[in-house]
Amino acid sequence: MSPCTCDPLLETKNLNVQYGNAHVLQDVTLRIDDGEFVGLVGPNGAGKSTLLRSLLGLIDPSNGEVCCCGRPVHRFDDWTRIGYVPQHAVNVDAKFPASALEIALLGRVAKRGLFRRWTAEDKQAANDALARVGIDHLAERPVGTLSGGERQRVFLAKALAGNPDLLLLDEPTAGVDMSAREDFYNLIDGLNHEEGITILLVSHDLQAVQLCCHRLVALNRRIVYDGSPEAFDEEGGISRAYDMNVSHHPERTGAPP
Amino acid sequence: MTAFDLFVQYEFLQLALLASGLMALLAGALGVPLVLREMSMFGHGFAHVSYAGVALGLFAGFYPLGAALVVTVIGALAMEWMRSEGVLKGDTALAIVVSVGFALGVVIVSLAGGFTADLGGYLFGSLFAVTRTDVFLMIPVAVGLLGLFALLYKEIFYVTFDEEGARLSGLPVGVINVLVIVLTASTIVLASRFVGLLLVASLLVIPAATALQVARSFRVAIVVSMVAGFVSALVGLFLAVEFSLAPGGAIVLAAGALFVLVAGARRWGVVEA
Repeated sequence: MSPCTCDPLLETKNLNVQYGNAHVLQDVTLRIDDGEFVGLVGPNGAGKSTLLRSLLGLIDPSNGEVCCCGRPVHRFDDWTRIGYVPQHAVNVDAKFPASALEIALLGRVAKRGLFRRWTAEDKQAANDALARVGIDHLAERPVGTLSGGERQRVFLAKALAGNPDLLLLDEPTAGVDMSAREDFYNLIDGLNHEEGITILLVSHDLQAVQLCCHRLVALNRRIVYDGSPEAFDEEGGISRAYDMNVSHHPERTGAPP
Repeated sequence: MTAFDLFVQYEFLQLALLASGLMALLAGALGVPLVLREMSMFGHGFAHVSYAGVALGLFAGFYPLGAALVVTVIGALAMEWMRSEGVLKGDTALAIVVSVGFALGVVIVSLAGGFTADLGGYLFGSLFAVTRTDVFLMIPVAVGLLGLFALLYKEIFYVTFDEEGARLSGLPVGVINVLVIVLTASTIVLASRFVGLLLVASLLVIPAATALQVARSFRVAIVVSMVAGFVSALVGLFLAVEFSLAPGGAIVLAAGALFVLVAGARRWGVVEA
């Protein structure tokens, strides 16, 4: 296995993940460079979350290699460069006493280090992060009292508070209503365009990913498409990604049973 | 002579008040993460294990509170190890360690032919069985443990809120969990001198539950819980001295009354949560 090459923000080489006899990921080779906005799509069970968790070093691959910023992930320690918004982040325990500002401050823990108190700089960065996602007016509100869309932004602010180079977003709009969803995509689009943050967005919301990403990667245990979002449909990406080869029969008009 | 006069007159009562107040502050702070992580019963478990330590100390002629501290921390670490290694599910590990610890205590006591008077003080708590050595051990240790809690505040918050996220941000979650367990076990042992082994866990749980009724942030939850614990200890000790009550019972009843008051105030909309 060749060692990681230097510098792409994220890289996997021939990544294989296997649980028992089930191959969850097969031969996944992926490289994400600085400034990209990549959408990762695929059906349920395609291994999207597994890939993301492997990228974060939360899962040990059966085979292959994962590198962050040019270092093997198990030796990577500069986690301030990566902001991660996990799936179901919005499903926090509504009774947990934590204000939006406190959650955003958690994004500064890695930067501050063990045993050190949060400084004025941390509080400023957390407030700025809340402002960047447009919810600084909710800073003192308990996160359990916020709407799904607002909570989503709190967790995005947490990821942004450490000023990361890369954002990993796992199904960020699950449990968020339609209008909030659109705002959210506009927001991360802005983060990529205006602030140059590299984004890997995992979603099954194909339309949204096609609209805002620069590059689309479709996963179905293996990478079945990696290219421009526009060409995805023409090249039959959907049927490859979703294992669908349903022939279309327009002559069979539906009759009630 | 009223309780107030007694407290003014006797230096020892003032020291006892200071020691139990500090213990209550510590228990209040630690209780919030414990309750939020649904580990309320851990305090109860540690208290039972400390019985073996007290019995061992009395039997072997060691300082009982010191022996209890060592035995309880070891038992607590064993529980944490079983929890983190997934050897046993949380409450099964707890049940085993608790019963084995308590059984060990019972056996040692029977070997010694019983030392009921001394043991009663540890089981139910007592103001008058507390020695100067106890108080002079408690005060610096409680201050030290409060300091450690303050140093670990943001880490404890993160681990309580999201253990996986904390691990991802590079925090040594295992070490933090162990430190919290040691903090909790030490608090239980020291506070049990006043409150008694059988009641001490409530000092961790009730003030925290009171705080969670009204807190809108983690910091406020910790502060309210500390205040609730402190007020309960103060009121309880005064009532105990005034009416010659068992201090442990009085403190826990005060904590319970405060909980009912706050929960009621919230329910009837007097305070917003």
